[in-house]
Amino acid sequence: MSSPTTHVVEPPAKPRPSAVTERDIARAGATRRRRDSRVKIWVGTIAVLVVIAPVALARVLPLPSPDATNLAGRRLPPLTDGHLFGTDQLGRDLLARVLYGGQVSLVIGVLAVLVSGLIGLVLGALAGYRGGWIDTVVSRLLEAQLSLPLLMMLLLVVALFGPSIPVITFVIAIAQWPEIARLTRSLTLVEREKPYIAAAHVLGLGQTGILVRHIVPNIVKQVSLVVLLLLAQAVLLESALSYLGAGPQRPFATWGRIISDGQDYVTTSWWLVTLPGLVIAVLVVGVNLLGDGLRDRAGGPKTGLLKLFSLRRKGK
Amino acid sequence: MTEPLLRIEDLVVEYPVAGGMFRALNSVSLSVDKGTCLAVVGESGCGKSTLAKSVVRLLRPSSGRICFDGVDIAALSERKLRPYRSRIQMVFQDPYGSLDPHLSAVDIVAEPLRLRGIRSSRDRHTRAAALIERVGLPSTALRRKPAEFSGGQRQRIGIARALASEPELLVCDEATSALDVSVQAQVLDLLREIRSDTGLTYVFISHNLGVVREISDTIVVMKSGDIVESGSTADVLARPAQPYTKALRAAALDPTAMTGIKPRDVVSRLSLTRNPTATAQGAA
Amino acid sequence: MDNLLRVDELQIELITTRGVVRAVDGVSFCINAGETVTIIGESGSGKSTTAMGILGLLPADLAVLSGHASFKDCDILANASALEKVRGRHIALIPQDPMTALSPVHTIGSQLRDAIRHSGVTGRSAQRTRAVELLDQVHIPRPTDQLSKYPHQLSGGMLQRVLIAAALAAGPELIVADEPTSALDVTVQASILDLLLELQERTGVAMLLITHDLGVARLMSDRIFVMKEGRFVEGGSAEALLGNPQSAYTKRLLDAVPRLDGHPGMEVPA
Repeated sequence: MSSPTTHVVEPPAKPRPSAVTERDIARAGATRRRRDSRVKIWVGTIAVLVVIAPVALARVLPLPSPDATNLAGRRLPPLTDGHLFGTDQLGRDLLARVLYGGQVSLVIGVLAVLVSGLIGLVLGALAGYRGGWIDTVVSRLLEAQLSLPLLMMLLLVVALFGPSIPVITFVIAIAQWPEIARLTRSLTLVEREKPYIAAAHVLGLGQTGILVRHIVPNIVKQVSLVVLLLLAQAVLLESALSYLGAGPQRPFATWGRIISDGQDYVTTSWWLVTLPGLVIAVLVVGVNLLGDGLRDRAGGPKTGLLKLFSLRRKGK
Repeated sequence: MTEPLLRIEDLVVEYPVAGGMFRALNSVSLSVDKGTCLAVVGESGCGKSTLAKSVVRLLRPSSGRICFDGVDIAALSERKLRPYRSRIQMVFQDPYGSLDPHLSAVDIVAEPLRLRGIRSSRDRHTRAAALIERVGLPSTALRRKPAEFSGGQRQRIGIARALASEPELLVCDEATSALDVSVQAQVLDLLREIRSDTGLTYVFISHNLGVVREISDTIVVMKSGDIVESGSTADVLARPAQPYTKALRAAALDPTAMTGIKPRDVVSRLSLTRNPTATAQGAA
Repeated sequence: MDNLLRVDELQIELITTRGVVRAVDGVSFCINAGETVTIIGESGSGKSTTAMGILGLLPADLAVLSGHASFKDCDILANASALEKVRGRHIALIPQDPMTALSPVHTIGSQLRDAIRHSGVTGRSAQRTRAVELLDQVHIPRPTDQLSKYPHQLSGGMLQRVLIAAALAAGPELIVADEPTSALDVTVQASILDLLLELQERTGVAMLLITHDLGVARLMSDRIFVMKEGRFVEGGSAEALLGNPQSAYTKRLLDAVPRLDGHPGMEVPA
């Protein structure tokens, strides 16, 4: 009995036409996700720049001095006499106050997240990788701090050590390190089980070497995103502290204090409270949107840091 | 008679579980002569991975001896073990997880060179490039990251990395199990080539009898932490003595050894189980 | 026509972040009642995508299907309601990884009952009886005890038997088995394959088998298609294809399979 032969299928003479329509592409999950993250990144960046750029350039802009009182022009509404935000109860230009005050708020916020980022990364990575008593100590510290009422604790520290800028920065950093440490610890625990870590072990790399050369570089991107999101929280914390009077003292008038100074006039001169509040809100929402969008992007195939910012649609 | 390069005696690995201790390795003994390839086969849970990890000291055995070149490394401290690390290397199963995703290929292969004390980074780069070429990858591959390589290419990089330490013993822990069959054949060819060029000794862990037949000289068959059969690969696979080995042999489906068996023929299947080597001899 | 399943020029395109990828590029085949057709290929060949596409299991915001697929002359590709009626009742699926194919928080019994309910059996006790009957058919020991167990309490082989039982619940005419033994140990694989062969002998169910293992294909199939990069390269009866392949790719695949009997493997061209 002769065995039947097989039939070989030849490739088609010309390639088959695609059945994918524009509508299919528009509705596709991949497109939607990319579009959503692009929108978030654009809107977030613009919102952040709208606040940060004027604050950074405050000295260069044609503004009256933030401390120049003018008892003749007290509590002027916005857009009168060249005062974009109006004036406060001592006749000082509100926009100038907000911008100069923002410099202090932002410097404190950025420094605080950098310090908390560093502390959180180091402690979290050590706890996750070494385990044992380091993990126990760090985890209990972390949990203890997360369970304390945050603002009460910060007010206590400020009451003890005085409301100077270094103390405030330090206090906010202390408030934020647990969240970063917790994330870093989880990421480290996951990375630690991967075969490339075992391979480094077999090669003869020591524990510190593995931590510094392999684990940290692979988790630092995700941790940085959370640090960025915490910048918003840091600014809010600083505003809360200075609103309560525990912020940096005169002459530094940060956003929180501007709001607390104006709160007696909230019904008569609404702009004294609302406009600084709006500036804070725009910054916080912007930072959150930007962080969210970057986080969505980071899940995609391009994960180089610069490539996270590639916003133009790349045709393939 | 020369001392085998690796001699394992009464190796026990156990760890606590709910309700007592679980023995992953139950007093296992074996030896590997220099320049040969020992295969360790078995199904999941038999202890072959635990054995591999013990040999490279990724874990510390509970008791027993692992004599490498005459020295018992089973209970050495990390510090005392350090000089032995470069002499025993490992190729891992998962091509997607065994390379650091943020390093380029040349950096991955250069790392063991740095640990061996080669200070000049240009020197390391040249040697790493040579190794990458040795395993069959083009020079354009040097700067690329693991994500840009296929599974088979990543395994080659893993092999290059292991070779960079100039080891005497290479443990391959299911090194080809995650690869497509055609890629697997290429990687096996590479491993065989390296062995004949350098005289490396291999311990090859696998569940695939065909692969083991092609690459190993001797074999141990494991089940539930024990060695149930051992000997020369050709003998054990052609004439398995133990029922478990026979079952493994019968379950291995070699498409080229099934001439004469009608497809979907249940009766012939069952007879295969009783006499696993019948078709090999009866092939027309 | 006694074609059970007929696939004509099936094309599946996936919309990904990197653009449109043509995973399946014009595939045609048919399965008759009672026969086993296998698609073999390496990873990325599109074999699983073909099966998932025919069953309508690819996410709608990812895949665009074109071409024709019909079950007993009823279009299932373009007609979603026809597919609904057929899927689970006349065509059943045995998924790839038994460890993750079942919900970990529900018992085996309740998950089997879902399948049985879908097949039309009503009433708890009738469903329970049917569940025990099905578990018996797949040779699970002490079936009544197993009903109250959770997936993590069973081994991979047992879980795969449960999945086969669920697939048989409605008495399908065609079973799609997507790499049914790839995640299992080799001896367990043998027993599952024996089970599938036995069930086919008894019930005459047809099977579309997806696998990368040529040995499994040779054992289980009447006809085999070799798939590469979205297209069929060669097709024929199991004996002819694996005994005397014509195309270079099939020959290369066959040569690459390591031999158990010690004949030296041929040099694989780079």
